[in-house]
Amino acid sequence: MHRDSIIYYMREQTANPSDEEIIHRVVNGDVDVFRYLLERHHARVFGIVGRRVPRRDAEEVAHNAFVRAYTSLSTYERKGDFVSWLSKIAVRACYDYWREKYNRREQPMSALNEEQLKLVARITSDQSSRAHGERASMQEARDLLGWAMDRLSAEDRSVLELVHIEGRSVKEAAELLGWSAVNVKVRAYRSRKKLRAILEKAIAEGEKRYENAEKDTG
Amino acid sequence: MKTPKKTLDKVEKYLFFSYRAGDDLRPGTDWQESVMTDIYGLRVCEGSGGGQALFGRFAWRFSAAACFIALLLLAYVLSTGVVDYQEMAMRFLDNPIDFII
Repeated sequence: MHRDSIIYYMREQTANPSDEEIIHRVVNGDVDVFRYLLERHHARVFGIVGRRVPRRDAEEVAHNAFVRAYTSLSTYERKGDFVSWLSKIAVRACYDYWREKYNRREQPMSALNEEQLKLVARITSDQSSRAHGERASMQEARDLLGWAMDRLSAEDRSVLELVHIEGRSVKEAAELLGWSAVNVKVRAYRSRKKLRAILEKAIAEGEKRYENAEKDTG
Repeated sequence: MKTPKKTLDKVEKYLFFSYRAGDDLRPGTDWQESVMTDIYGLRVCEGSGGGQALFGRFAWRFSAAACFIALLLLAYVLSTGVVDYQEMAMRFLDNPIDFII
């Protein structure tokens, strides 16, 4: 009976090895078991990547994050937990994505289009509470935020997402990005200021254009 | 025309809310296989980490010292002034290694 329970325990352990065991096996050449890490943690990585980069590129960025994790496994120190370590890699993969994108960016339009202006009007009017539940307006709002954030540098964007949008602490954001807490604090303040300036300018220009168009038609 | 702060606050709050409310993305069916295919192609993790990874880890520790030495050498070169053809001529004339022309 005792022997059976030991065998059962050993089977359980083999079927459900810990992250540490898997990493040890992968580092020692058993590449196949990396699949366990993929299965266990892909949802976490997609949770990070899915909101930060456009959906069409999310799979590629998540792919790069896991490949990067694999190539860095030998340098993984077993001080913290693997999930935090992997999250850092995912956040930095997104940061690299935007840095590359920012360097190759085309100048976007400066003002909001008519649809986006209508959305702003809905948000600021009494309809906003109803709009909170509307799936379509949520997507429009995400597009609008994406449009505004496309004009920020990769550094500003990353800090803004972590601190102001996701509500993480400065310390946590600093750990994820590998920056100093002071740097994160300063950038968090500046990036929000920049975003507000972009939105303010775009709303003003959009309203002006909208008024002119109405005058022309009237 | 300046947008009122209250309006801007409201817009910002709603935009941030929409970001957080986004659906979680799920990978396609082939995604996992494509990652594994790439990983099979790499052989970085074999053994106990490989010399290359170990070198990459420790080389950076000496970067500050290397930069300092490079600066010292630069300062030395700038202060003494090195001219290639003069150096060559001096070597030929001194014949330091019994070099017979």
